[in-house]
Amino acid sequence: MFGKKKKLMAAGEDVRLKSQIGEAETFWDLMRRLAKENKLAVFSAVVILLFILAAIFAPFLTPYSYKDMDLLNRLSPPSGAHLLGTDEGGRDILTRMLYGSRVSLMIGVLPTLLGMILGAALGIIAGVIGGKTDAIIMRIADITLGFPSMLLAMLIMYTLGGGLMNVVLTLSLVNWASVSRIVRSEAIRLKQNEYVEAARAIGVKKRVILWRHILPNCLPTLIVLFTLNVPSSILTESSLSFLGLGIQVPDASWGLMVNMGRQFLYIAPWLSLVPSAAIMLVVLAFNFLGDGLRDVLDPHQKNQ
Amino acid sequence: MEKNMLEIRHLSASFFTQKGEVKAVNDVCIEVPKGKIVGIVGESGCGKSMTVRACMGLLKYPGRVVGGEAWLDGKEILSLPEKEKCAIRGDEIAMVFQDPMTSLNPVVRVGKQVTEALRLHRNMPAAEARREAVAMFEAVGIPEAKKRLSSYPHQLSGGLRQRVMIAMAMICHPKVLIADEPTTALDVTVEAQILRLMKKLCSDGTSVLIISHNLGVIAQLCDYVYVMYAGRIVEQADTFTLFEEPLHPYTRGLLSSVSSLRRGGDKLDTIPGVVPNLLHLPAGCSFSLRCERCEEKCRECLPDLMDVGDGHKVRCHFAGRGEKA
Repeated sequence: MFGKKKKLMAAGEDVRLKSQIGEAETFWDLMRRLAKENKLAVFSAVVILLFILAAIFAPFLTPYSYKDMDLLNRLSPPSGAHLLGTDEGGRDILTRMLYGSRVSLMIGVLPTLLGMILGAALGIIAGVIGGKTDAIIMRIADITLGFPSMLLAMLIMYTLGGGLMNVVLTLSLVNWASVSRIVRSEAIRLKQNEYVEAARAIGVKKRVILWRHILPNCLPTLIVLFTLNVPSSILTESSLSFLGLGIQVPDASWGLMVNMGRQFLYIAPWLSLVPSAAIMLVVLAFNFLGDGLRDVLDPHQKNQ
Repeated sequence: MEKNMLEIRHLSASFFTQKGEVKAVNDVCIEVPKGKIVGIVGESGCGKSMTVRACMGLLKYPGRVVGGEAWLDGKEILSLPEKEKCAIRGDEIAMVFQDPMTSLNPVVRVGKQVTEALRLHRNMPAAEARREAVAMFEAVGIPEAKKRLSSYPHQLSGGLRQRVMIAMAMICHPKVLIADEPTTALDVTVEAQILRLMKKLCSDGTSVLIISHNLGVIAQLCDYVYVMYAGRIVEQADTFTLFEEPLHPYTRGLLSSVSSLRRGGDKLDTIPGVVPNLLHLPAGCSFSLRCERCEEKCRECLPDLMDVGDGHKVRCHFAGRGEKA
């Protein structure tokens, strides 16, 4: 036990030294540094990992089915048989939570990622090239932003129909605009930097400068944006489901469960509280992890 | 006479602002012979940086080259399309910037930044480029070169960063190296090291065009000096002549406003007045407003750049009449 701890400490020393003398840090060095500097981030990563594992192994973790009703056991409070109780159709909440995490995690991460890739690409292009390109991209973004996003999402969902992949697509199309606006202003600030001119002076083409010199500098911003957008995606999905456009009963998603439980808030509060707590936990975990990652990945902040 | 590696001919460049055309560089001719160090001096805003940026094709909007040519080893480069300019920059002509603190990308390892030019221009595989970079780092005096390649800029000191910048510029062995105030942001000890390094590079056959407002740097380093004022060359000569027999009143003013322990005295000489507004240059000599010898003629017509012998040229009506100070 003691020996192990000592070894860990030695590893920590080693990492600190490495970053100080400016030697290359591998991915694992970075992770070790993250573990050393930010316990909360590690804890968050564990929480997220647990949720992901739960989502993957849902069928093995519960004896119940997420959609079969058991009308004799409607709205039963948490008990030995049903750890988190049952809902209005007698379905086991824990089971639905496990299956719902598949949808909610996917909805949280995938559209955010897609929206971010699209938004970052367009934002950087707009910011660096400027002129007409900038004007066109930004006006499209403005329109997307100005249009009530719920209405836009509903329009897209109406045209494309329900289903998981359509929700992902819809949320991506809603997400990109704010990302591109933020990245654009970042890119405009960054392109004034002298190192961009220095890169031009050694003959790097503008296109390459965009990806190789400006994008990496946007990364800290993007990571923060990511952690901010994950929760909003999860919440937007729940609203869409509530309006009958997203995931539908008997399928499960956390947002849907919160909304379904609303009607029984007084007589069976666990229906809404359990998925709400899960959403909060995941959202917080993403935020803390994002903060931790940004601190470790951003070379500006090293040694401070 | 040595062959000129870089020859700037009648270069003019302006900023086109809403208030009008700002003539930042006006009919400038500069020759950089092979293997020599040529300096440009002048106070802030006299067009030194603009001149070299224009010939690198790095002018930023609303700046634009209005006229003139720049010949790099027998090839005119200003009229080339952007793509070919990119191919030349960093390969045949390279530049070291003033502030090493801001001229390196903070989130990219210096090794990657230094090898970028090699991979771009020579299509060199990463491993080979790294070896070259290590050799270059050693050549510019960076200790533990191999380890330093994977440093981020913030992990290096100012002097090391400037060495990295020089390595970055020199890695493709360019014919001409332009240094825009390479030591201004550094302390004097490091400055001396960097200057020695530049001199060494030059002895390896690279021609250097160095910009400075520090006359000490120029005196120590350059073979030939151009003095710029308000966008024009006002005097040019080999370094020894210029410091011994400055002919233009502005050059004399510059030289006498250098502080020196040996000279003593209690108050530093200054040149009265300020640089004229480049938007509204005076009709005659641009220095006429501050010149103590100014006459009617000076205000009315611009003097030519007259040769007073041995390549010593002066843009002053009173030069070449034996009125040396």
